[in-house]
Amino acid sequence: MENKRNIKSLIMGIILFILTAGLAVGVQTVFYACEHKTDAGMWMACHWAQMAVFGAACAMAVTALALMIVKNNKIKLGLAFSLIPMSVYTALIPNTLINLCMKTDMRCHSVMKPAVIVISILIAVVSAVYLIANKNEE
Amino acid sequence: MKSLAIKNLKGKPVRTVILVLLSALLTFTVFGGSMIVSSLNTGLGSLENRLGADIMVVPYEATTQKKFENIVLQGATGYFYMDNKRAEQVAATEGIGQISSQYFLASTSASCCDVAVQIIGFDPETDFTITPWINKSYGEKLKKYDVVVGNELNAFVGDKIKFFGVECSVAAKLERTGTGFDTAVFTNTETIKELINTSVIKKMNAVGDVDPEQAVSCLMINVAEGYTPEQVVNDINLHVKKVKAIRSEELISGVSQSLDGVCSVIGILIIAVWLLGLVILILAFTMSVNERKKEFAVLRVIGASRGRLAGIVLKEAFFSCLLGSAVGTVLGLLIIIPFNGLIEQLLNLPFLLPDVKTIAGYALGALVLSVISGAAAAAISAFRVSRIDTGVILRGDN
Repeated sequence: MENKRNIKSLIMGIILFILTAGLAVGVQTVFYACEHKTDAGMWMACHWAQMAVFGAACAMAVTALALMIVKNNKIKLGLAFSLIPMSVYTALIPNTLINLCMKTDMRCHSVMKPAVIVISILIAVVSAVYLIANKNEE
Repeated sequence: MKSLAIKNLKGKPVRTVILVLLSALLTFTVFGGSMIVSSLNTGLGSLENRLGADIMVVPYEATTQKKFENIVLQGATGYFYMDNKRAEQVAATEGIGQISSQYFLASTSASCCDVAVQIIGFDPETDFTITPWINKSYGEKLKKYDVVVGNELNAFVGDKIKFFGVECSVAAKLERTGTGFDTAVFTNTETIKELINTSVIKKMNAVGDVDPEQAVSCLMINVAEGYTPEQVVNDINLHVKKVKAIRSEELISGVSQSLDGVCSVIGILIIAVWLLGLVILILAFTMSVNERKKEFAVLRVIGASRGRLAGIVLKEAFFSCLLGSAVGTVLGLLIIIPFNGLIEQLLNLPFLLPDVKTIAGYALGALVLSVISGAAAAAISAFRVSRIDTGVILRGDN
């Protein structure tokens, strides 16, 4: 029974790490913001939203990694809980906390924003499931 | 018995996961496909409403432009002008009920956060195509330097936007239409003439020297009662030089044909995936029952009726398909709704998501259809289980 629970926790830890690391890597390589710079050599505002998401995702990936390594269940629960507000914060970065480009048919709006929001929601949901599944464990 | 079905599902996690995934795929295909088809149809309806005129008259050379249809139908950036005298000649044609001029201008990406947007100027006194749409969001008269922005522009009421260095104020934001007009900016004749003038002075107008007082981009016409659009179109094309009159239906027909094609392909895909999934589900349930024949025979020996055995199989199918359908529906919602902008760009067709009630209806419909299909696929196996010969199976002869 105990072994089964550990395996479940480990699987959820791995899923969380894949999601958080995937968000960090993906926002730089797959669902990145508008890529071109203007003639003046300035990045558009959405680039800074991309960088902010990258930073937050890296922090979450480290937290998810710690979740798999740490043995103490209370610390694990604390780490899983911390992922929820962090993922909500990450979901709010594109266009709510940092403005994106003018037209919503641009890449930052049509690709980066939805991808970041969907992955952040998944991270929050998996973290909540982790908390519920492990809350009674000593 | 319910707990026995659930225990069976928990006892064979790999088989359960495969069943759930298959069911999720079926639901996702039906839900996603119907949402896309519905959004395309809503988008086309919205485009027809936006055109709102029987005939459009444009300078002849404009029709040779590659982007012409996108400019007039989708609000893509681009512009052309014709002499006011031609417009007066067109207005004098017999059979015209309503006529209004429009002006097009594309802004340039000047500073770090600006991008080119299409600016459409209309005459509030005569307009009958844009004003009804704007009135839904803004009831007042537009003042000079007031603009109304499309729903997909990241600008809000009260914001200041600069075009060619001229600061304009956002008076209203329009409802979403699912067409390129969602990224366009609308303003009155006074402001657009000022903007065209500034673009010419700053040498930022690709057309070159154009006097906004002596030019218009296009004329929108509604025919008078007793006349047909064909008659008026032929009359204009025959008697007014250097202009081309086009029926709105003609303009939309290209989009409509592409939309029909996409909808047919999606329909075929839904049916193909559905049939394939159904066959795999039937096979999965048959194999699952075959390898558990002894288990069912033992249950029969200890007193379970034939109906109960069939019930176990059906309940297993019901619970696994219900979970799978829920996963498929959530997946569909997580992909179609947030990524609708990307889907619109990839299809390059008007795309407008239906309202919440319709979306909920599609989700529920797909869920129910998937659960019923799963139960139907399991019904064959359930029937076979209810007919097993316990003696033969327990002796090991089968």
